[in-house]
Amino acid sequence: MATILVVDDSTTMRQMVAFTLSSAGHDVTEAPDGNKALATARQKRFDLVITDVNMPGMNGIDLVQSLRALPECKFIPILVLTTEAGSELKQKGKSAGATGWIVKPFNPEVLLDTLKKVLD
Amino acid sequence: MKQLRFKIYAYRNRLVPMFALLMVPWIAVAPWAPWWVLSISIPLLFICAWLLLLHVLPNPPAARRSSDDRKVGDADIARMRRSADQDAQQLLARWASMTRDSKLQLEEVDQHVTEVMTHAESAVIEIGRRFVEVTRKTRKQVELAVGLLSRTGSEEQATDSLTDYINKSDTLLKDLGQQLLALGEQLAVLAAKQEAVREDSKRIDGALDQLAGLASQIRVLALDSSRRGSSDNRAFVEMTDRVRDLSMNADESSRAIRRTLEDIKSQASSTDAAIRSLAQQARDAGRRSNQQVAELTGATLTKMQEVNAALGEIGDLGERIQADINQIVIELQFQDITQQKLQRLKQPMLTELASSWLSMFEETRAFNSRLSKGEKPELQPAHFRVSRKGGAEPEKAKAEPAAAASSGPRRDDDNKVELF
Repeated sequence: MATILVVDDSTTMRQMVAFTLSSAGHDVTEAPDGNKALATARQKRFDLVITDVNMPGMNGIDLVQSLRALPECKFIPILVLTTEAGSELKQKGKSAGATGWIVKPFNPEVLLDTLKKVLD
Repeated sequence: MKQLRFKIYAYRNRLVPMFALLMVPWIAVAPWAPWWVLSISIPLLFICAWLLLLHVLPNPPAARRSSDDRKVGDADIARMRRSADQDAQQLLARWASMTRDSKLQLEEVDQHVTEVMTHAESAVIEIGRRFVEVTRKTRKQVELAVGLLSRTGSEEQATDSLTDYINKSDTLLKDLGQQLLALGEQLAVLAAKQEAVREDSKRIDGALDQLAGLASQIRVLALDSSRRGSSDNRAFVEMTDRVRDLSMNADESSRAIRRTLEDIKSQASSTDAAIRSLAQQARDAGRRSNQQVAELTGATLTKMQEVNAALGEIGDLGERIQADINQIVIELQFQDITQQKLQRLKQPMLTELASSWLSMFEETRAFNSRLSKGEKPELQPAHFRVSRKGGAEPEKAKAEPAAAASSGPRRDDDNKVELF
């Protein structure tokens, strides 16, 4: 199963995502904001990153850009999981290098299906 | 009338002593005054009060202050003071407007908080309901599994479980084994009887050999007697004795053979009966076993179908439990998203409100300071942003969270995932 980094400033949301992914057998690492996520990504290799957009410090779009700048994260899938559904922000995420965009609240089955698609 | 109201409001502290001052001389002379004086003085009193209020009380409309510029004429100073009055009225109007808008904003925040609380309450209720469903379904799963695989159910279930059928099959196979063992023992008895028959056959062979020997001796005697013929009677008598002995021996052998044959017949009959009995027992046992095996197989198949149905039900329950857990996860997310949006709404709104009040306060203080110094107060253009419902427009960025919170999180799953 995959090693996944989950980035969200909301503890509840982070735990919900981690619960869903762990139930499916994935190895999940959590980070509360973009800066800590970036530090974690430098120390450990991940198969996938799931990040929120609105976070204190570094937001999700900036995090995607920063992760793409890292050689070890250049080609891994990065999913944005957010309440924002505006096309302009989506375009920003796409330009920053995000692989997909999921609008909260997520359905666990849909999230796992999406993961399977991007990991395959 | 608006100006009068403002003056009354502005000089409200002086109104009572002023009126008392006016009334003192009139009250002093009233008891001795004739009626016509009273009828004229009372209206005059009110007219004087009116004039005083309009033209004397403004503080002071014509008098100059020590801080007033000497180059400015009285008329200009009066005009400037009137302008200050108008500015003060504008400021008060803006204070009133801002207060009203702040009240509306606070009511809006209160409404959002109420919505969030309502949503949180409904989410908690939904989560609790789903949790109860999960617990109930899990319990049913466990009951089904226990009913299938153990004997801890009711007595009726306990004698009808798959384990019982397996035990019954085991018992039936053991019975069948016992019957086969008994059959083997009976076959051993039959084998012993056949051995006895073989022994009897050997005895018959011996007796037949004796009879053959006797026949041979009789034949020799017959030849000898025909050769000796009429030689002498003594020899004939001797031969006759020997023939008699031989005849007796033959008779004895015949009886022995008959007895042996009787024994053989008896043993054959007994063996035949035993074989028939054994065959019958084997047939009966086979029939019973077949019947029992058929019944047991049918019951086991039925039970297996029940087991399959129960396993299917357990699987369905598992899927429904997963769906309930997913729903709980979604409800928790709704709860969290709503809280986050409320936080994003609350903070900028309260900051905005506080900055607006501070701005108004500073403006009023500056106005008051300039007014007290006799300068012409210059009101700044309305740069505060208080209300989204009339007055100044709020900043767009700050309005977005409010709109998002009021609309609430979306519950549909359409277009929620987009892969680039």
